[in-house]
Formats: sequence, structure tokens, C-alpha cells
Amino acid sequence: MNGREKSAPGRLRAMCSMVLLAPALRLIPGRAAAYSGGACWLSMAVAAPFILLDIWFLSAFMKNRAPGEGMSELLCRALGRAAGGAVSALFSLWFVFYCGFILRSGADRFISTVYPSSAPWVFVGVMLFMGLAAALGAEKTLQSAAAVFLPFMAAALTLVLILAFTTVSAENLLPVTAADAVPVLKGAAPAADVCCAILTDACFLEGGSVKSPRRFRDWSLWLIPQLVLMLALCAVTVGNFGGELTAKMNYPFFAMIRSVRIIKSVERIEALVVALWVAPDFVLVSMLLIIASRTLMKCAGYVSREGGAALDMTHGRFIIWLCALGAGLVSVFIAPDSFALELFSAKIIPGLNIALIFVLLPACFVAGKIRKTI
Amino acid sequence: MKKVTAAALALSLALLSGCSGGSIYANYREIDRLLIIQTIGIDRGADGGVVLSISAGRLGGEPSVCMRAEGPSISEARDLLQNYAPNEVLFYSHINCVVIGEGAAKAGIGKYLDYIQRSVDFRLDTPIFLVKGGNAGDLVMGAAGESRSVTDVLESVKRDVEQSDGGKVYTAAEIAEALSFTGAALVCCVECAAETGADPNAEKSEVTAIPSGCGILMSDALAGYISPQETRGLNFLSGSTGSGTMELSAGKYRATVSMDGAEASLEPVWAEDGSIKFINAAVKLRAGIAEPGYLAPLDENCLTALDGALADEARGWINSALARSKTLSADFAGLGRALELDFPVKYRAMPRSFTDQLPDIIFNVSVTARVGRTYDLENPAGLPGGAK
Repeated sequence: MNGREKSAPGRLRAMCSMVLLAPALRLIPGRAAAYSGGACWLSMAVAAPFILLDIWFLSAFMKNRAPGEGMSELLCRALGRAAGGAVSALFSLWFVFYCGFILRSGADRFISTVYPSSAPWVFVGVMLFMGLAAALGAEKTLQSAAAVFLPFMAAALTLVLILAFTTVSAENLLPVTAADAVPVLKGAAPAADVCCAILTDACFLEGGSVKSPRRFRDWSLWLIPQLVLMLALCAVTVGNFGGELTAKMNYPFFAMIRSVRIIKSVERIEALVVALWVAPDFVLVSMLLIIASRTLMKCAGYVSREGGAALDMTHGRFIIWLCALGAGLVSVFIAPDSFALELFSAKIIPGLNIALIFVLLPACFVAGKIRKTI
Repeated sequence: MKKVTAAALALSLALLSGCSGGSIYANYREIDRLLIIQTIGIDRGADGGVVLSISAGRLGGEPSVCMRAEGPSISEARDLLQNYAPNEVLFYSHINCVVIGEGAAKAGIGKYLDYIQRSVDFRLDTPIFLVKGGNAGDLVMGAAGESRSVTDVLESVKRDVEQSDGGKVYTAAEIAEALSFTGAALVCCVECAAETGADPNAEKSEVTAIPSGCGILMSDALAGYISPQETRGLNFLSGSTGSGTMELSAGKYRATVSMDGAEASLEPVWAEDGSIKFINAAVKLRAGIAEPGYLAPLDENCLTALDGALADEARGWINSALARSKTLSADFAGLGRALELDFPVKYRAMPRSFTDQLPDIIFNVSVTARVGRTYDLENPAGLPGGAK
């Protein structure tokens, strides 16, 4: 365990629920509507078997872990120290890159929805600083923080969805026929992509959690509220705007919040809601920095040590700073404007994600089984 | 070290809030200087520009503030207006109504809808009004008085349209979605009328807005109008009547009836190739006598005659609106969507789109009506009979 205090797997799942909110709100309604129009709400249910398959695969993989081992240790065991280290390092670089993208897209969300004509750098800088501070601490603390944030976020989201539900038009969601099967299947891809990415991230942190004998069941149960949430997000957003209009918007959920009124007296609450979404971004950025830095530390042969002073650079802790610097640089250079960012959001990030999760990881598993090392 | 980190984190959070004093973004505004704009009017300016008229709500009995400026775009017109109001910050986040002039609508409202969708100030559920035969600026500037603003006037129109006619003032989102989906949409029309028509003491320049049916948008540009009666006919066809009144006349019988409700259904008859041959539309109306046109017993003959008159009147309005839809080949009434909802498989298997088929489709509209006696008052007061 290398000095790390183990946390309950429930906290890790709570953190994943929290983290899911960031890409779900940014991506799901718009992207799913682009594929399947008004029937996109059904795509969330269709995504379930694919995500369950991923949970089953990851559970089969993680079943082989020894106490204290996470995905990076398993990869090293499966492929040997050199190849496993290289694959782990590749995943680390991916996490740093993804972290930089989240920093930039989080800033873009602020600019698009509340602060027009602003420069993204203050938002990027503050979020990076907060994420770095969390990454320098213990991962258990971050999981506890996520568990504390989650009920507030769930309450806020539920309230918004209920208020927005009052203006939903059923005509925008129906009818659904057999002809919608293929579009609905395509619409399931963003939900499956987002969920599978987070499930894979969680595997890298499982070394810090107690090993659960019923991993598949636990994560399958975790999936139910996440899919219900995404289904509600799609139904309410598309029910308000229709499939065509939703698909055209960058942030349809946040555009919808602009119209939410509380008992016809309180309105324009979008700034509050957008500000609330700093919390999932913060947890996601911190989590990615933690995973990337811990994995790189192991690759470099350092023994990971939780906590410690912020400026303590011993035991490879300088790698945390390097990861933060890398994420910051990615956020600066990844996209000069929101059009370029959209390209990353729609094509490059999901493409890389799919390659790593659905190609590289299963290949490593198969290699480990052939080599009989896992 | 932990204290230093905590302090730095707190400071960084403060940077994201209004405490930043404008260092992060350029939209920092003092709340006591805000002039809250409630209605904007958009007209077509010279060289394709925009004439923007704005009206702020009344505060503390003060008359509402109205301003107008012309610029190449809405954004630049807004900047110009801000120059005219150096002591106030024009605040657009609580706009309740958008009014568009006829000229601007004829040129196309797509760019205005796009602006509303993009702007963080505007809401997509903002109702949009079209000024039939006039400019938005004339209404916005002219409807402002000592005791009211154009927003009050338009909100009254909205109530009237929704409650009396059972109709709808379409929002920016609904118009944008309808244009995307069917290529046609309706927008609520108002006409400017001199206030002196109802109040002889009013200033001659004061105007008010009167509901005037709907404008038909095709490919985002104004393609024509449907009258208030045709609009009501379409409302009946969608099963909505509101509680407004209708004047009926059948031979010697006359009465004003108030609408109670409607039921409507659409039944398509499919051709062998899967296209639609006919659409049988059935509407059942219910109304009650609000005001007899003469002092005579309301016997069964009278009520039967009024039933027929109501049905004939409604059928005429519905047929007229549908004929307009066929002539323009524009499904502004949303019939295609209604059919798709009820017959999704057959609808989606059609060889041509519903809009393409529209000119060839024959509508058989049947209307039945039942006029009852409001409060079950058998005969007019003053005649023998009275309440049962």
C-alpha cells in the first residue's frame, strides 16, 4: 500500500459520479441529439449494455490485482516492467492531455454562458491551481471532498431538471419508431464513451481502495443513477428545445437554464448553476492530475507518498508539478478558440479515448493472459 | 504551509467572483446604475443595418425610458444606445419581449434568432411579436406612456392571445425549432393602433398594440399573414379555444357566445404509394351564450341555429387557414408533426415530405358545435322563464 491509507470503494464511486457530471452536462444532450434527434433520451438506455460490458471487462482485469495494486501496477505485471511502464506512461500522458482539455473547456463554458468576451486564462489558472493543491494532498481527501459535494450537486441538478421539466413538450421527444434504432444506437456512443472513460480512470485509483469481491455488481449499481441522470438531461433539454435546435448548441443544458424561472419570481439563475459546476471540474482535474502523477512516479521507480508539504519535491513529488505544468501548457495550446475546441471535443478526445480504452487496454489484458502474468 | 495554501485558494476563488472588480472580464456593472431593458424592437435599417429600439420598465412611478439607435448590427446599435445613456448601464438580461418590424421580418429574422441564441443576455423562451404593416420602433417608442410601457402592452396582448383565443405567442426557441423542422413557422402579430381610439384624452402620438393574427415565416422570412379568424381556426384545429367570444348570426337569431372548449382529431387517408390522399379533420366545439342578440326565448330552435352558425363560422376559418397553408406549401400549422405523433410509422414511410405533399392533400373539415346556456339561464332576464 506504500503508506497510502485505503478508502472505501463507495467513496471512489461517489467521486466518479461527481466527475461524470462535468462531461455529461457539457457533452451529452447536444452530442446525443446530433446523432438521434428527439429520440436521444432513449440512447441513454441503449448505452447501458455497452457500459456494462466495459464494467465486466474492467472487473475481470481488476480481479487479478493484489491488495494495493491499481491499473498501472497490473499493466506492469501483465506486460513486464518495461512494456507495462511504457503503456502506463502513455496513459499518464493521456491523462495530462485530457486534464489540459478539461481546463480549457471548463473556461470556455464560463465564457460562453456567463462571461462573454473574457479571456480563458484566469479560469484556467485558478482551476489548475486548485487542482494542483488537491493533487499535492492525499487522494482520500479528494474522494471525501467529492462525497461531500455530490449531494449538493445532485440537489441543484434535480431542482433545475424539475423546473425545466414544466416546459417540456412531448412532441419534441416523440414519436420513437423502429426507424430510430440506428440513430439511437449512434446516440449512445457519447454516453458510453464518457462512462467508460471514467470507469477506466477509476481503475487507476483502485489501488487506494479496499478490494471489493463484488466489483461488477457494485459498479453496475453505480451505473443506474448515472444513466437515469443522463436520460433526464436529454429528455428535459431536448423536450424544451427540440432535437434540431439542441444539436446546434454548444452547451444546450446551460442555454436551457437561462430560461428557468422559480415560481415566476426568481430568474437568470444560470450564473449560479454554472458556478456550481466548478466543483465537478475541480474534482475531475484533481483526479486526473493524481492519476497521471502517481502513475508516472511508479514508472520512474518512486514510491508514492501521500500528503506532505506542498513544496516538498522529494519522493518524486516534483512529478505532480510537472503534470500540472503539462496540463497548463496543453490548455494554452490546445485550441485558440471555441471552434478548435469543438473539434477536440467532438473528434479527437473521443477518438483517443476509444483507442486507449477499447483497443489498448483489452490488448494488454489479452497479453497478460497469454503470458500468464495476470 | 497548509494555511498559506488555503489562503491562496481562497484568494483565487475571489478572483472568479464579482470581487474581481472588472479585472477578469469586461461586463462588471454597478447594480444601482442598471437600466433594466424589458422590450427591444428590431427594424431593418438603411443598407441592411438594424434600428434597435429599447424600452425599460417603469420604476417608482417614473415613465418608462425608451431609446432608439441605428447600427450595422444589433451589437453595434446596442453600443450606440449605451453612448446615449452615459449615466446608466443598459442591462438586457431581463428582456421579456422582442418586437420585430415588418420590413425586418420580410428580409429574414434568421440573423436575429441567431443573435438571441448566441447572446448570453437573451433567453430562448422570450416571446416574439411581429408588427403587421409597421415598425417595431413605432410601437416600442409610441406605447410608452406615463402609466405604462410597451412591455405592459405586450404582456396584455400575450394574455389576450393565450386566454381569450386559446392561441400562443411563439418564443424564439419555438420559432427556431419550427423553422429547422418544417421550414415554416408562425409568429404572433400585433398592429399599432392610436390610443385615442379608446381614450380621447390620450396623446395623439400614443399607440397601443392589438392582436392581429399571425405572420407566416418561410425559410426565416415573412411570407404572408393569416388573419385573427384564421389563427383562431388553427387553434380550434389543435383543440384549443380559450374563453374568447364569437358573434353568431343565423337567420333571425343572433348571439354572442363565449367559447368553452374543443376536441379535435386528424385522420389521414393514405394512398397506395404511402402518401397522404386526404386528411379528415374533425372538430367539436362547445360554447355558451354570453349575450343574446335580441330579447326572445332561447328555445331549442334558437340553440340549434346557433350550433350551426358556430360550426359554419369555425369551418370557414379552418378551411381558409388550411388553404393558405396549401397555397404556400408551408406547414406552419404543424400538422405534419401532429400526424407523425399519431401515425409515426406510416408518416416516416411517406415517399415525399409532408410539406411537398401539402398542395395535393385534400382536407375534409367537419365541425360540430354545441351552444349551451351560460349559467343555465333559459331566457334573457326580463322575459318569462328564468333559471331552471
